[in-house]
Amino acid sequence: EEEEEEEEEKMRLCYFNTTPHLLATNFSKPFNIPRHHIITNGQFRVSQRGVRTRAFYGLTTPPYKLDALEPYMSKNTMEMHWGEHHCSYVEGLNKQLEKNNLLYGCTMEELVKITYNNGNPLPEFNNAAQVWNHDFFWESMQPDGGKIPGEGVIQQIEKDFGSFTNFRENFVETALTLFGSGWIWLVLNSREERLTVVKTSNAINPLIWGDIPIVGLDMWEHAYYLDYQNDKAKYVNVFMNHLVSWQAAATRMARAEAFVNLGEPKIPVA
Amino acid sequence: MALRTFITRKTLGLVFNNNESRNLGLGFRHARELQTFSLPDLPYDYSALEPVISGEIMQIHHQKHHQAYITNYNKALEQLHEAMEKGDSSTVVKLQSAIKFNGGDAFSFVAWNSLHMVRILHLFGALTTDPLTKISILIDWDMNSCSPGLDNLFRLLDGLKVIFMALNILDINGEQWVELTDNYELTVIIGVAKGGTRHVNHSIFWKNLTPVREGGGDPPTGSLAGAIDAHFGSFVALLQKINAEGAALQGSGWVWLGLDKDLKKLVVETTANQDPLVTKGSSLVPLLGVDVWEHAYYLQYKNVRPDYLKNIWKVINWQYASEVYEKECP
Repeated sequence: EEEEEEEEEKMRLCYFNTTPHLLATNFSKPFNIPRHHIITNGQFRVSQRGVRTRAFYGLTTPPYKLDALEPYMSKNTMEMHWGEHHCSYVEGLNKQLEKNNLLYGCTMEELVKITYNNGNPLPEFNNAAQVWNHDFFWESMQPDGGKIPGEGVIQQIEKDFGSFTNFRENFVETALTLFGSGWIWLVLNSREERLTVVKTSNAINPLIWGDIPIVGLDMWEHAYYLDYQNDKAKYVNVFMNHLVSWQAAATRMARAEAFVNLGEPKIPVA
Repeated sequence: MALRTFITRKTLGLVFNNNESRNLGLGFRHARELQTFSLPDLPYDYSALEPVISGEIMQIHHQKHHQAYITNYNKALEQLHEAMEKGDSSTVVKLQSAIKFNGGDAFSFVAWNSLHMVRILHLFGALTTDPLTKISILIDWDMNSCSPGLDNLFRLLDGLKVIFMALNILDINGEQWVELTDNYELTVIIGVAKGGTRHVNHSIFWKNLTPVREGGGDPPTGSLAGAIDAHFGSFVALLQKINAEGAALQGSGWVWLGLDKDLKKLVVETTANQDPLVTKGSSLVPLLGVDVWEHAYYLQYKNVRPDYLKNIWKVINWQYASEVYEKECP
């Protein structure tokens, strides 16, 4: 009976859909941390509501079935990566938040930035960032993905990298020169107002610098080991050729333009 | 601490400040025969550690991962050898002798890097008891940035020296180290240090494992057993500590049972990526290292690293650990 309840609980956690992220991000600068989220050494009295909340954040489901990325990313990998790794980051985060629910009520992006704490990460950072990273990763891929980006992205890539081929080479090289666990990002650098490719270690992502990620690639070994073992080059090339979702990237670019001025300013003539 | 380091470097800087210093007559400029490495054979079959570690993992770990590290290590050694053969060139950074001290007044130091691994921007400051200001050093050791400080540059050089000596590929002493870093690109040196530690970590790892029928899993006897009880309370407590630290390690890395050979103390430490144990203390000697990179267990244990750690004790070679311990603590 208890087992059933546990199973049901897990199902609930796994299938609880949160708002799709593509449009949920608020990148307006400067990032203002709401006062009640500032962590001080003082005691905070939080009113105990009647119902004890069991889950703060949910596990978002990838926007496609787990076998939809075959043969490039196997169903086996998706089941493990999403069902075990991603799920355990969510569960871990929720467990931490049970003890410190000051952080409750943020969007995932806010939570990542708050818990990063300007370089002195709080214990919740790792889980929060990895939850966000994996949410973003599923959305960075699609069945029948890859090929070349369309309107809205290709122009910016050509502007900032010279050509799509240059960008692709840059991306692959960055991925192969990352040592240890981490992520590769095509990111819109807010200050430089251009696209760049960056690599980050472990759970770090470009949100902490106030930049806007467009595409993310998981380079932790668990992301590719079942399918490709140590052949990182094959995995990265397959991602570029068959998995990356340029549609999702286009949506992100469109939204990013609300926060970063990518074109020439249109100054009205008097 | 920083001031003392400064003074040491200053003395050396004065000695090796001129061109003649490069040929110190230490026989160092005449590069030794290029030493390269090859994949060491495992002292057991790939499947000998089953069911604890599958043969598939052992084979890929050995033939693919370790081999790749060795290949890259040899490349780095070739680069260093070439640099030493060619001798100094005008574009090479003279790190330590380039720091000129002008009676405590402001000084500047500009270095150049070729592989964006070390970018030493500029530093201004006064050699007084005040900390130096406006120092910006970005060091890409596996992408970990160093926080600002000249201290960190010297710490990096010190750390590299320890690693170099631990690698024992060049019989170098203190003065030779200064010459080395003075004359050859730091990037090449970092390349060798990295490549070497990645290879050495795995070489130690294979020796740390042994099949059950060869004594794998048999707890240590002798002086190491006593030391374990003294430092950790009990053998079981040690294992629990190592398992806890190994499981908590984020990303990739190693968990070590080490011996501080100066203090004669056992320690449990973790290192990130392939960083060697000496990065946690220059007098630390590894007795046991457990690889907790995902490639070490994923095909079999998937994401359940704690199970891997729990089970690996069945094939740990305490005999080897004891031998290393007794060598350092006779």
